[in-house]
Amino acid sequence: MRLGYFLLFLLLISCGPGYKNKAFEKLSSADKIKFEKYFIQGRDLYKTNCLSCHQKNGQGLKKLIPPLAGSDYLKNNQAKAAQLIMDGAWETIRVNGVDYKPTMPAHKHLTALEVAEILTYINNSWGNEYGLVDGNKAAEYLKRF
Amino acid sequence: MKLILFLSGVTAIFFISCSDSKPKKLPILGQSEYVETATGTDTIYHEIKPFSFIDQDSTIITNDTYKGKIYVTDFFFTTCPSICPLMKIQLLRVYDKYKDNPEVGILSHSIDPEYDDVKVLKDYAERLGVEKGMWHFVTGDKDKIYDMAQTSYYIGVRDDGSFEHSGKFALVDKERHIRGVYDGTDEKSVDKLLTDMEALLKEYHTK
Repeated sequence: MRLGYFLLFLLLISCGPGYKNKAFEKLSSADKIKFEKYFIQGRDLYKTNCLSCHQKNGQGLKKLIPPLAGSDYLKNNQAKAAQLIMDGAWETIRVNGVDYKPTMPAHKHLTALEVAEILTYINNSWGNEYGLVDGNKAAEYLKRF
Repeated sequence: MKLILFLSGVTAIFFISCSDSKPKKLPILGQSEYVETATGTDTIYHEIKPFSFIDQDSTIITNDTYKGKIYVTDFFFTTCPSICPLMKIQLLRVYDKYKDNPEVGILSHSIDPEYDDVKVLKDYAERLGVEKGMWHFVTGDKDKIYDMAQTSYYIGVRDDGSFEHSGKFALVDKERHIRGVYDGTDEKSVDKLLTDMEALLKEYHTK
């Protein structure tokens, strides 16, 4: 009986990752695999590069650091978001109606693929459903600026 | 006859405080001096030096600002891309709990005082949602700020082009003694700070 509960527990933690959202369900099976790979890599990259400012729940910090969770800016400016991750942000940015004056450092050590992984993670965490960004797409985004 | 004995080594041991569940008197940190007098031995504890800085409202902040208060202090800078946001989230817990308590204050020093002038600090405080005058963000002479960190509060800071700092918080009592040092980036360490603050306030109320 106890073993039964244990197995059920294992089943629950292995089947219930939060990222299987609507954006995920729309993907082809090949892209689903890519999505999962990107998401897991992106989560680790987020921890080392983004978390201390944007926080583990993506909420940012009051009116100092903008949120990523539920961010209209992130949703509507994917290419710009890629560039901000790479080059940092120093100009006023409006997120969900609040003007932030960011002091975000550049992350020049990241590759386009890693930017894509971070975007895929933040795009699909904390209730966000902004979908997969693959490495080629991120490279294209980064060339625009 | 006056014989002054320096006892070293005490400092390090005190910093590693054990987590007893029973509330007891907090230690007094830092290097103490023992002075022999006619009647016995007096202990002179390490004390925060007098200081004078300017805060986000252009008010001059000195030791007297914290007279009759216990306070928590840290060293940060507004453009810090690493641990400062984590520290401020933790300090906000102290602020939220004690903002209406006249016996408690917070003192945040900028270690980049040339950039962090009064205007920048004002904007920072407002964006953080700090309205009450119990939390002062101060700027001033850079050497004096660094000296306070290193010799008064024992908080490591260094400017090697990128403002190294340790993220520590110090808890100072009404007699300007350090009663605890905490990791301001660690939620659990700040849990301990909040418990210690309660214990310290109790010391004054049971006297």
